[in-house]
Amino acid sequence: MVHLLVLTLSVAGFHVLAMTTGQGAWRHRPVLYRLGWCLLWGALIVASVLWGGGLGVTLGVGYLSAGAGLVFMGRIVVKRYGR
Amino acid sequence: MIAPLGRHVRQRMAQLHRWTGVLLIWLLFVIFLTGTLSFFRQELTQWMQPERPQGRELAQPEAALEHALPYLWQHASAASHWTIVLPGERSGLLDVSWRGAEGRGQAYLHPDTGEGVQVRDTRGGEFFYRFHFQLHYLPVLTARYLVGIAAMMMLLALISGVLTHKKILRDFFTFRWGKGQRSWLDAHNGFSVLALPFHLMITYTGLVTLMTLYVPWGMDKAFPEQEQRQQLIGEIFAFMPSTPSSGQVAALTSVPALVEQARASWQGAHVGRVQIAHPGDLSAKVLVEAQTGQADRLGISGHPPFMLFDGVTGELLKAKASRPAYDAYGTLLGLHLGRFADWPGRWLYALLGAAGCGMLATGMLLWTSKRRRKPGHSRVGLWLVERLNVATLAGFPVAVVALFWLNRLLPVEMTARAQWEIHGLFLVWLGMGIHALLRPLQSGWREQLGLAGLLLLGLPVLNLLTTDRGFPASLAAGDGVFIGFDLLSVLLALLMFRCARRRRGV
Repeated sequence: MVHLLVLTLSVAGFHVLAMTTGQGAWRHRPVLYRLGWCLLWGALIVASVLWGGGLGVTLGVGYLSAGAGLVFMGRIVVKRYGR
Repeated sequence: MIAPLGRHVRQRMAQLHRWTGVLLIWLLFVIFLTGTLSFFRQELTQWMQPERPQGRELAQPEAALEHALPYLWQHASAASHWTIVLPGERSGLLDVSWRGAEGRGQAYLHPDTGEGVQVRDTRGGEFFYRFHFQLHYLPVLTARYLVGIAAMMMLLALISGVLTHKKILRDFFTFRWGKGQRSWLDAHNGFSVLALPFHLMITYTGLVTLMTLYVPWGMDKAFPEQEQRQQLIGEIFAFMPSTPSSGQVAALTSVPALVEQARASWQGAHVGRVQIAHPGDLSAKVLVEAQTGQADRLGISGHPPFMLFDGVTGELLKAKASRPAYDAYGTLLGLHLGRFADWPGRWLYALLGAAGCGMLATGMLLWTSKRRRKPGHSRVGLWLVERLNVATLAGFPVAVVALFWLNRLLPVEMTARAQWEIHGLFLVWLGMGIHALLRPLQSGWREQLGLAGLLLLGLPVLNLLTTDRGFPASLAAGDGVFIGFDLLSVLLALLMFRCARRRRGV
């Protein structure tokens, strides 16, 4: 469950960041931008608290990468097939 | 032709990135791919030895010692060294081996009954693990230096790549579909930047793993004599001291009691391996090592704790020391090996490793795509790089899948079977190389990727026909390894077919 929670927070964080940093939207939505970063920090904090320092940071950073990758792939798929 | 050195730092970094990337990228790709597979080393061995019982979490793996010790007394009482690898979630068998003046031996026992289990001769996942850092057919030291040079190139390429990338945050989620070279650039940036912490970590820790080989001078200065270095290694690693036999008979102390003592001092962590030197002799020693993959109790270090006991009196002679530098090294090693990770963690490692393969592959395709448009670029060089791309990016995966086919097709009683599986992999890879040289570029891509797809799609069928652990039986038994292998084969086959269909105008 912790794996899923950390991954979900990472995906949510990157999704929000992607919304604010997309073409022409760079820093135009400061609240969302800050929310995105908060979610990403939240993922790391949850991982560190629930798994302990070393393991938490290791897997947390890994899940941040996986989350970013999922958002990246998701946006490609939506852009390509979603319209 | 090599372009003159750029005027600005960013241009120079871009040039460094291109050349550090291109020189050993094919080697890096096979190192990354086999490294990614190595995260599932035990699972691959389990699939490649279908005679093994399904791995499961045992409440007390140490209980299997009651079968191992009588077996070794009965079959190898004259041997000078015994090694017992206890079963676990990732390996369903009790592995006992021995060596001595009369030679070596190994047997697999069922952990519940103690009966011998005959498994086919194969290197299994161990082959990918070893290949990842010492290749094959090459002298070990030469290969390790070569891998180290490639890893250093990779580290340089990563750092210079970050410095080259002007809009790393702004371009974070940019992907321009169907734009040829731009699409390859976006894909390369995507694979690189999104998993950058992993790429940096795995490359740096990979170099650290063999640091005393690559940068030996500090060790040489501190410990100039070979004996001193051996003593150091004996002190800090779980090595059995090479003391001679006394020749005096003495009863071996209770090994299960030593195992319990070790567990008590490791917060109840399970034991993974027990080694016994000179059993039944006055100089007997017992080395007990903890099982890896118990991060909740033992942390992420790549050096599990160990204890060395006198085999007659049971006195504790040595235990893993805790020193800052040694612990830091253990942590970096642990991060690289990823043995602390549970199964979702291992999948995460594998996914990020696959992103590394994607980064290397798209980097090569970007390189050729750029140069194809440059009128002054060497045609011979470009032709060669394009063929090497086909032979490595498509040909090596074909060869890896061929290894799995050979594992099922070669007769079980064949002599040197394990070696022939590996020879088969390299013969297929050689065939793919020749095919890439002879065929037009687009046909080469299409045919090799298509072949990889066909072989992958055929694997579940082959497994169903040649073993009793096909998909329906595995599903009924809840055997995650076999179910996962079949599903992943089909998914990767679809990916290969998709890539084969898309290989136009690259």
